[in-house]
Amino acid sequence: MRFVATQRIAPAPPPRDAAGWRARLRLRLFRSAGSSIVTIALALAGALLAWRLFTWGVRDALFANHGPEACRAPGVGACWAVVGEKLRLILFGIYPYAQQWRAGCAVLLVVAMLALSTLRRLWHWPLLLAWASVLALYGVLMWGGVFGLSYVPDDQWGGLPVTLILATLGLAAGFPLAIGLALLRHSPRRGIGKAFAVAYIELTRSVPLLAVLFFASVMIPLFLPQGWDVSKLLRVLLAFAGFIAAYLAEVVRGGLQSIPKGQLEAAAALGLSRTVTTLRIVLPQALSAVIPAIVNVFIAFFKATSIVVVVGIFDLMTAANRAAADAVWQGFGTEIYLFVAAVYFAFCSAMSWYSARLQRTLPARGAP
Amino acid sequence: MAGPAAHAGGVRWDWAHALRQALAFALLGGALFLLFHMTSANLQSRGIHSGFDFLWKPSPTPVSDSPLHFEAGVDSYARAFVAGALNSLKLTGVAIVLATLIGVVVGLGRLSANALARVVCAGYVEAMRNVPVLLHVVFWYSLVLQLPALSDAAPWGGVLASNRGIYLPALAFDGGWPALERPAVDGLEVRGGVFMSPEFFALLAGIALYTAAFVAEIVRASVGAVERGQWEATSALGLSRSTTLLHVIAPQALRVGLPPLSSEYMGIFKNSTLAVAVGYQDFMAISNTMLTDTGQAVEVMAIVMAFYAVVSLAVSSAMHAFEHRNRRWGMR
Repeated sequence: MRFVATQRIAPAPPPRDAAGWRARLRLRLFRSAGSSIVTIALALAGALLAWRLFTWGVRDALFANHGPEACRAPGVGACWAVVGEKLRLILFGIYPYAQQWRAGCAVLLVVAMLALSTLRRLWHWPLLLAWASVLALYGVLMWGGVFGLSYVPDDQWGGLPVTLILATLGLAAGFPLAIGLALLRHSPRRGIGKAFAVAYIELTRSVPLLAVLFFASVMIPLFLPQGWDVSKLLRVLLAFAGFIAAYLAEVVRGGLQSIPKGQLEAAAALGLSRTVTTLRIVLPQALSAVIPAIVNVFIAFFKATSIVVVVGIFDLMTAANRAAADAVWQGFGTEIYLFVAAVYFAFCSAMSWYSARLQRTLPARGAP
Repeated sequence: MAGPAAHAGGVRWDWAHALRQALAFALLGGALFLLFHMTSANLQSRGIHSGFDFLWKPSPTPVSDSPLHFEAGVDSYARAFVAGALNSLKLTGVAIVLATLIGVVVGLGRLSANALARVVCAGYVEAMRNVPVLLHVVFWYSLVLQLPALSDAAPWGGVLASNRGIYLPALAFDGGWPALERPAVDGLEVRGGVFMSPEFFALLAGIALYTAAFVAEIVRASVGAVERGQWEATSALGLSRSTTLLHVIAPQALRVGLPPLSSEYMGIFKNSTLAVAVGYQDFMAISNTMLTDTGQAVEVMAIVMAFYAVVSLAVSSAMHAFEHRNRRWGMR
């Protein structure tokens, strides 16, 4: 039997139940009995939850501030008025009220700098310079004492500026230490330096941050000569930097391990010294290979700054606790914590979205 | 950073290397001596007698909610430390089980063929992991404290939730037969059931729900790391999806996932110190009380660091041994 087509045959349409939105829906949500049950159960539970949240958080909620008694009336859902009432306390802590515009400017500066740092075409030395000047400006704004700004000691700082500075300065101060530790640990030679790096990294990573913070606030005064004193914020910042360094060092070491041996051999063949090889060949490649991992460490420590609550630093988390404990507005902790959670979520999800995008778009390095 | 030209372990005596080692030794030793000297001078000037003999003196601070019986003013500081350690381990153990259960369900949900399940599980992971774990804990604590008083609490499916704590139904053996024993309010007391204090519940819920998001990501990644061909082969053999998952995929995924999973578990152990923030008497909180009681800062801090370091290092070296064994077998 032979068949010869005399003209072009148009492709047949897909079977009716394999195309179109209805078929796609069936494939994705109702493929089997089990899948259908899961879909229906999840949809029902989700709808119920959404409805409860809507009635509590929007329909029955009070947005306008008519005092705490209005919120305690029966039938009232969420009391968002408390967030408005406590907003300045949550964001800026006990920073002098009239001067809080300074804290606000400091926050905007750091956030703008974080946003600028995400642009890859700005990744050059001037960016570091810009960071240094922004941090200096942050100090001028927050401490004051110059340009007619009144002096505010750092035990009166609070809220978001403290959270931001702990995370950014902790990372910045921990970074050089991390590179040193990673290079020491990665070096092929045994010695005191390597043993110290291994011991420091492993011990620091094995104890909780909270214990390290307690250690810093209790022990640093004991380590210093009498009469010397370090402010509580600085103590915690030091502990933070030392702690981050151990985690960052392992990330950097991962980058160092990814450098092919041929690079070192080529550099040696060219007669480059070990210092030049490390600074100009190994480190630039190692660091750029682990940028997404560094961003992830930053996210982890941005969240971990909340732990400074326990040593009495007034960060965003402490400010939330203080706002929730107000005697006049008692019982509205849920609303305050949800608001603060939203602030943390905004920062962290933006950063993790960025880190995931970096991982996709950064050119893969290594041997071809 | 030594270049390839360096003679690692060579026979030639390397003067430069020896000099650097001597310098490093002197620096490190000098720094340690200076720290020791400063600390002892400071302690002396504050009139603090150093040493660990305070451990055997009776502790005036009570320890509650502990599996170990503790009587304030009679039992020693050492016993208080042990009670705190047991509380830490109890919290860690229960949180690990809970986080693993939720994490496995959510992680498999993200790989499900059902699109709605995928979306819900992805939403869970995003919402949980982008908020600090301390905020989770404090949030749950504030919720528990808003529950009705014990006298007004209505049991719900055998669970009694009040602002004094959560009572869960327990498995009791009544004459050899297992039976579900429901908690019941009897005057000012509750009879039967398992009791969780508000602090314990808040820590457990906060830490477990937070860590579950990370466990879910590990489950997703390690199931994804198993070759696609394995799924195709089992479906060609006619095995069901659940049989495949349980007997073919899980054993292979576990080998990939166990090392990161163990570091999440260590994270739970370290995060159990957040107990300090809500006032649950774990090891850290008790040590903190001891520190203010006795003023023995150096000794107490040494005990704290040693406790967490020993447990963490023991687990991580066990994990290293496990990985090493797998490598020897030629597995990933």
